[in-house]
Amino acid sequence: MRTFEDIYAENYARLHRLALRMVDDRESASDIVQEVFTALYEKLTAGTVLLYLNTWLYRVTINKCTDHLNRQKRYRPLEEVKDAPTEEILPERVERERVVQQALSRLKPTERALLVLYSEGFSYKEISDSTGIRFSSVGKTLARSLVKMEEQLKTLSYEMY
Amino acid sequence: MKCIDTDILQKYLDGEASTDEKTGVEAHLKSCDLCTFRLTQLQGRAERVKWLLSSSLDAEAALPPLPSNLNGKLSVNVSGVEALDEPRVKRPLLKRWTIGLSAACILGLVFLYKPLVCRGENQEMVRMQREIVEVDANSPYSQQETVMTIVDESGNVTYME
Repeated sequence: MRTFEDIYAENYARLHRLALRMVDDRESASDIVQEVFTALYEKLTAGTVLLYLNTWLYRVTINKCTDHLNRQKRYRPLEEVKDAPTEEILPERVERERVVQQALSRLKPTERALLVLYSEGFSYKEISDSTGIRFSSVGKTLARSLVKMEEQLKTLSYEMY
Repeated sequence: MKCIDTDILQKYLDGEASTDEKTGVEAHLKSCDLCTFRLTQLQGRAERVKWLLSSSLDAEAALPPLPSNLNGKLSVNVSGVEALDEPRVKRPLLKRWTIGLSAACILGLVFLYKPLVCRGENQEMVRMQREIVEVDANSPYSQQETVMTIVDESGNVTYME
């Protein structure tokens, strides 16, 4: 038996990373993750027992991020960079992060979620459960998303090699 | 020999291929340099994207305190047996509208086309129409003699004066 606080501490960073990758805005990502945990809390106090807690958390986060993007009715302008480089972070790392985030923002929300979960080491089953993509289509969608991501990175003149 | 689909290669790469798929891929790779090259390409792409996404600046996001309205000491039973109340991934509004409009257009075309086809079946067809007109330039139009020969699809000739 674990406490709500344990679950919060265990999952916050990963969910925040996913939300940040999807919405590309630190404040919105924090708000979304807080909303997810509030929704979880309400479920638990209502007596719902969650069999697949992690899947539920990721799925709700992806849904909320997608809703957020739909509400914005546009993807973030490419020129906008919200994170100013700090002194202790190397400039090339900041530049790399900026390009990666721009490339991600040019993909569909489902493709973004898929790539982030894949990079986190999720299995195809977990990806399918979290994103709603059919299990049999994960491989195909993943291969296509990886190609699109690489093309976007190349378009943004980022040398990966 | 037919080369392997990209999604199967991706699944093989990620260790998600079924036993049959795995055997098939391995047998094919022994004799196909192109697919061996494609596999290497897929592997490189996957590793690069994984590395770029996981080496995030926000990997160590600080954990904010729990919202004050949530009780962190709430016990959570995650090993229950109830089914997961899974939220559905919503399609974007634009996509839903596009699908709806496309369906409406297809239905509209079907209903518009059907009466035209039915009407065409019973309609008399004129295969040839010839007018014999003797023009008397000194008489008014109402006094001109006109003979019209109509040949229908079965070859019957009708003269109209």
